[in-house]
Amino acid sequence: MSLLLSSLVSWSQLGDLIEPLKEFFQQFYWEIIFLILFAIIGSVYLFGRDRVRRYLFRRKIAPKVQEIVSVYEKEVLPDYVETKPKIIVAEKTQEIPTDLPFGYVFVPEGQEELVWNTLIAYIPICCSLRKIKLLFDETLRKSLFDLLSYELGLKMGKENFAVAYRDHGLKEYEQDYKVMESLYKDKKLTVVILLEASIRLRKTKGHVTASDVEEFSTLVRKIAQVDAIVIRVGGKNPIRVEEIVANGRGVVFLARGKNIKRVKQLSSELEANGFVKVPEEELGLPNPEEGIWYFTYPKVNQVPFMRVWLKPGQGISKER
Amino acid sequence: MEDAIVVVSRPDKEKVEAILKKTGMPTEELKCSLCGEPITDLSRIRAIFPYHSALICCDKFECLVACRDKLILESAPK
Repeated sequence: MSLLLSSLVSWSQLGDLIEPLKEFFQQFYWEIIFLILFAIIGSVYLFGRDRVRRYLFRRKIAPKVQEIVSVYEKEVLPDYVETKPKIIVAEKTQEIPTDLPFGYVFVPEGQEELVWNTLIAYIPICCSLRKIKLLFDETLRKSLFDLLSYELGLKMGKENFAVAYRDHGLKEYEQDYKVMESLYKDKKLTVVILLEASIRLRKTKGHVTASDVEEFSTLVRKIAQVDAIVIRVGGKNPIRVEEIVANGRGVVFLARGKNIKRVKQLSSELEANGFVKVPEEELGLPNPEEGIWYFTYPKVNQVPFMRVWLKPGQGISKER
Repeated sequence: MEDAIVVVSRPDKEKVEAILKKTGMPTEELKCSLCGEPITDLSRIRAIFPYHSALICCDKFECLVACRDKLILESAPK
């Protein structure tokens, strides 16, 4: 009985409390609503800001990296991209992988544009020519990567960064930079030099000696001096023998797979028009050369290839 | 095919120290491995490569290229 009485008293006391509370809520209705909203926004910011920052950082950086790798693969060094870097955006210390990666690149907040320069410098060495580079001597190797960074910078529309690599190459090893530039311009870099390097590398089974480097580097410098344009047979554009004859320059035909037949036909037509095969002693390479082209990316594949060097014969040279 | 993992991050003190620790470098005085200048402002650090003792690269173009040159000379025949 006493228990029932005491609970009735506390209920009446509670009623006394509710009335002023009700008044308080009515008086400060909007203030309370704003306070609750503020608390919700505050807690979202406090607990979600890391996630938002990480999302924004990834959104700013990941497309840049994908774009630059794609341009490098398709426009700068086709056929010789061995791997695409896997990018890990680590916003927290715990997200840093336990295994050692290729490298750590830092992007200060608000300076995302500067990441281009770092990527232009390191994407070529990260994605390509990891083993092949061993066959080039020091200055040729540096020139090669300066040139690739320059071309990549240009293709990305970052001329300011690009020219710095060209200037560096011309300042430090002018002759070798020009060798690489001429090889790249005439498309001999991929079709002749890197192909030859990969063949030699396979023959050495990866054990490149100082003599291998010396011999190959001599060949690279020599090939740059041979006046010839490279024509890949099998593309969409038709190849006109008359135009090649009229041009008067030497020509290097390269074909893979079923297009080899067409190369043989084109060579015969050119020889009928006064062109001759460049002697092997003069070239330092087998001519014509037939072998296997090894693809490593995007999947391992092997196809036969053929390469033929032809130059205008005595008669044509005199006419010009 | 080899994997090429590149970790992209903000240059926070905690992270840089964790990376240096992982690569076995002292964390007390951070300086560029190429020009030797101390990097007190972390926004000047551009890259760290875990080759032998880590290569720390600052924001100077010369250091970026010198660091790349060290990486491409890696395992060159003597």
